[in-house]
Amino acid sequence: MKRFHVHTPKDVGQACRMLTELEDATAYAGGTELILAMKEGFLQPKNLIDIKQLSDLNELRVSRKEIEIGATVTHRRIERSDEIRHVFPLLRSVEASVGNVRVRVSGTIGGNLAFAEPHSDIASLAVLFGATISLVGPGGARDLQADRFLLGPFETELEPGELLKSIRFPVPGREMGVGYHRFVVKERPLVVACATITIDEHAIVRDSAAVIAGATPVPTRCFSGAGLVGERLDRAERGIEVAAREAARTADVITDLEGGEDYKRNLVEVLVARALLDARTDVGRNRS
Amino acid sequence: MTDRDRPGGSAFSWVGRPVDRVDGLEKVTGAARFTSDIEVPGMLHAAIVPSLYPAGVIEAIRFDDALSVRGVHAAISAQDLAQEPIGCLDPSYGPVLRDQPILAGPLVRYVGEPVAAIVAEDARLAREAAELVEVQISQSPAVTDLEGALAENAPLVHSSPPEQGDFGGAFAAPDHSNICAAHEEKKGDIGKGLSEADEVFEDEFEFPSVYHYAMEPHSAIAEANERGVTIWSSCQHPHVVAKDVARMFGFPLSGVRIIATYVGGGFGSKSFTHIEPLVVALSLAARRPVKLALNVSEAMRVSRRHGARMKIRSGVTRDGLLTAMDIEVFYDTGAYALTGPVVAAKGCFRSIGGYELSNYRVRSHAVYVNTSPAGSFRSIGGPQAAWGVEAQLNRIALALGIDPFELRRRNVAVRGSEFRPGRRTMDADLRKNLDLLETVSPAADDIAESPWRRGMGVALAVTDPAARATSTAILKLATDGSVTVSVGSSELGQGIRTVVAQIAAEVLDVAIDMVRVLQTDTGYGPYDTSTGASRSTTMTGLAVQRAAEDIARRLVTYASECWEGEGEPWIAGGSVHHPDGRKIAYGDAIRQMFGQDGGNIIGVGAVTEHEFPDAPPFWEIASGAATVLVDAATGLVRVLSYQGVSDLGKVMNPVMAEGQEAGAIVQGLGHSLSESLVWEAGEPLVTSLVDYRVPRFVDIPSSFTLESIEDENGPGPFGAKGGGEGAIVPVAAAISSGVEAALGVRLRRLPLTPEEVWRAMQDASASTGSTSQAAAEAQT
Repeated sequence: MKRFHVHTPKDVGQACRMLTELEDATAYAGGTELILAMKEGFLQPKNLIDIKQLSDLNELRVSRKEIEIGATVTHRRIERSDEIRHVFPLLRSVEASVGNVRVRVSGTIGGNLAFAEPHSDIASLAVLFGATISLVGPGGARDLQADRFLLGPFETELEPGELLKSIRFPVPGREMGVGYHRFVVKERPLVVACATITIDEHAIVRDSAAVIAGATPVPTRCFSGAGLVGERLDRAERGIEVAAREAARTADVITDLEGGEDYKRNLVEVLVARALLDARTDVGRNRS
Repeated sequence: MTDRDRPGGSAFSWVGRPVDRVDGLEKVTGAARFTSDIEVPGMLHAAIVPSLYPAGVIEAIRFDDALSVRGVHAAISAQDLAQEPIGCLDPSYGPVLRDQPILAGPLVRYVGEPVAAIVAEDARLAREAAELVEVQISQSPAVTDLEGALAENAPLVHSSPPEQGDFGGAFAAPDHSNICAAHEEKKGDIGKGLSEADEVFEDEFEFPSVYHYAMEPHSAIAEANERGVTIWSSCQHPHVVAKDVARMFGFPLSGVRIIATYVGGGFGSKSFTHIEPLVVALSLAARRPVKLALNVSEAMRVSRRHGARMKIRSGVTRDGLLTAMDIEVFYDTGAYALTGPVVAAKGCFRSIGGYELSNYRVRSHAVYVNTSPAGSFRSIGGPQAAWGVEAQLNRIALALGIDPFELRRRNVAVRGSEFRPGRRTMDADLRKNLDLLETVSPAADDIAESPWRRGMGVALAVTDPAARATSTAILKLATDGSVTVSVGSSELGQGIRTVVAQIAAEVLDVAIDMVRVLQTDTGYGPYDTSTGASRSTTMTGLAVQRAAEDIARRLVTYASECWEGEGEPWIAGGSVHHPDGRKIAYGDAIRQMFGQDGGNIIGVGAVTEHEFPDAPPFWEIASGAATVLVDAATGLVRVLSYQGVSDLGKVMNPVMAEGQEAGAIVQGLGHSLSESLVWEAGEPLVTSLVDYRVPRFVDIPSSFTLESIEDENGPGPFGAKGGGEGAIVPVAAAISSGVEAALGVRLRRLPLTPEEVWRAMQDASASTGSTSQAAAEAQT
């Protein structure tokens, strides 16, 4: 690892200025991704801007409608939050599956999103639920949908000098069922599939969505609900099958060290089907 | 004679009990010192410059930029080794073939091979400077896998046959070939045996190259001058390292002192000599003590387990009796042989295991390839060859409709059988082992919950360990009755220091707290062949038992001379006793012998190769049964339960013995399910633990039963046989046969990653014409 300097700004404004003014500067919070990349020599920043102490970035607000999580909130804090467990149990359980406990204690949700690792669990949820990401920088503040924020592997909308401030998840209502499957072989999930099914009072599917991640460059919506919307919940199986096959066919996957393209398509098909089936069971359970 | 031998005497006081590890507290508190923790005054740090090409000729190495870095003390390449101040007499080493140079030159043979090294004030500086070394290599054609190496007119990794090493033994190798050793074992007539068979089964298998992943990467410090050298090294065979260093640098053996402090895991990766000669050369070059501590990526390229490819043809009668086995195995030994020829030779016996065969032929070959070298790894050659044979036996059992336990019972050698000509007769009851395994295994017919399918597999491993028996021990008894034990076997985490302390405490009948086991030190300590081959408890332990008995004998003899009257004295509870009730404490006896100032009694014990003319000294036996769950849609395999039965003769410490067996099995999960080193055109693609998936706690089967058979019939202390290696051998076959049973497919390659299993299913459904049912599987 090359030598570097660590700076501790007093507020967000100073952090953004340091990011702009100092040579090869990078924001640093949990360090669980950054330090590994530095050890491997992929990144060699000269200046690390430590944003861990900035209280503006460290807030966690939970209401019945929305969860707002500051960028430097750790995975562990989300995992251990009773409020989140109560209103959005899936978010809690996905956070509990990130890396291992040492990673979760130190790693932050903002760091995870800003690093844009294609295998990120939390990014797949952010895209599925249309979470809003707030950025702050020299040009002021702006909000982006998660799928607009993530541009490619390790590539985001963040401009020079800009910081990720927080992420806001809409809380799913009782009429929405959720499903989440991650398939892990090595360190990180090979394929993640998550899905929602929303129904009306007559148990007719009103909306459905699925997102795949891991094997694709960015978390990708793979299902528009066609074939399922308007269908009765207890007759959703056929639509799910079609959706899974369609997701497998169109997924942007390639052959690499993690697996062959055909195998990845198979995984996408299996996991999307399972996630949708779980979402169906989940919404059924909410109703009963 | 001790107390327990007397009528009404107690059983063992220390042996066979779950005594706490003598190094446990030190290790869990972080106080234990490993080589990488050691600081020698004036010490500098080294880094290596690796080859970036799998084959080529070094045209030039320029150190100018590296040497201009402040704090850099020395930089050396192969050309400097013979020059003063290094003055190396022979830069080549290798246990079987001296084919490996300290630094490559002029040829490089694998990516990662050290071509130069830097010495600097600290490790970071050394690594930074190493990146500034300019190495110009003109590439030549490389052979990067077994197929390429065995092809006609393949480029030769070594153009002329290397000099033989110290290991001895004849390892034939064909001329102008990449085969560095060929071995054959045979009995009877294969053609005749196959003609007597009702059915002949023929299968091919491939085993991956895998890495040991000892927690501590290779690490060594050398403090050398013109008269000799002291080396601290994380090594398994310190006496072998001493011999190599003495020969290569022209030191007398007494001038080479190797200190093996705690070693952070070995598994064969630290067998024989690796980085030590380089560190000696660097210390001589810099005229200072020098430490080289590799990182995991570098350690991965020092040694690995041989990848292998094999063909197995077996003839069998309708009743399931084997009439012949014809096996051919190719082991990929990488660019340097290390123990490859021995791996191939051992693989011969380890493939056919404990079966009574009238006709067999096993041919095995160690093959040079332009990849990192492969050497010893827990039961060398065993897991590869036994995987194929045991997996095939399960296919035979299925085809013939015979229970797999029963098929094995029908074919195993019975106790006393001369089942391998010229070798030790079968010294265990293999049917008893299989019976016990069957008793503790879950019923095969439970149904799994969707989407899982369930299957069970069985395997039996019989291997030939501890080829080299020589061990010596020195024990000192002090005036307070405490005992110091010195042995040449390294503490790798396997618990040898605890085991020998138990043996010494048992024989001398003192509390275990009164026994201290010193760190292994070739300067002060006694000789030992190696810490490997499942031999330490048996051979080192036997030497310790003899050394303790030597002390006991001296005490009893002294007391007999002092005391008048009938009856032979004995020792118990720290004193020598006379039948008439007189007794004298050990310390008082010593003071009487030496005078009031005291002294000590030194006991020595030795075990020699001559005692075991019929190798092996014992057969190492371990069976295993695995029940697996397979997700047919994704190919994911989970090991639900694993049962293992090992024949250990007499267990010295049940907790540690179980730890060894469990450790072997869990390590076996790695090559069975997830571990594999991969190269592309000689370039290693797997260089860190992010891509190299070793088993974790979550991978350990929730039902995990380990049983041991203790017939007290081994050659070791109190009837002990060695363990620790055998249990890794049956794992792959037990698991793969479980997966085959669950899915009804045939598996040809390890590890059984989900993708590998899925592909086997695709191949099977393609050949039977059925269609993929992934989505249907997902919904069931």
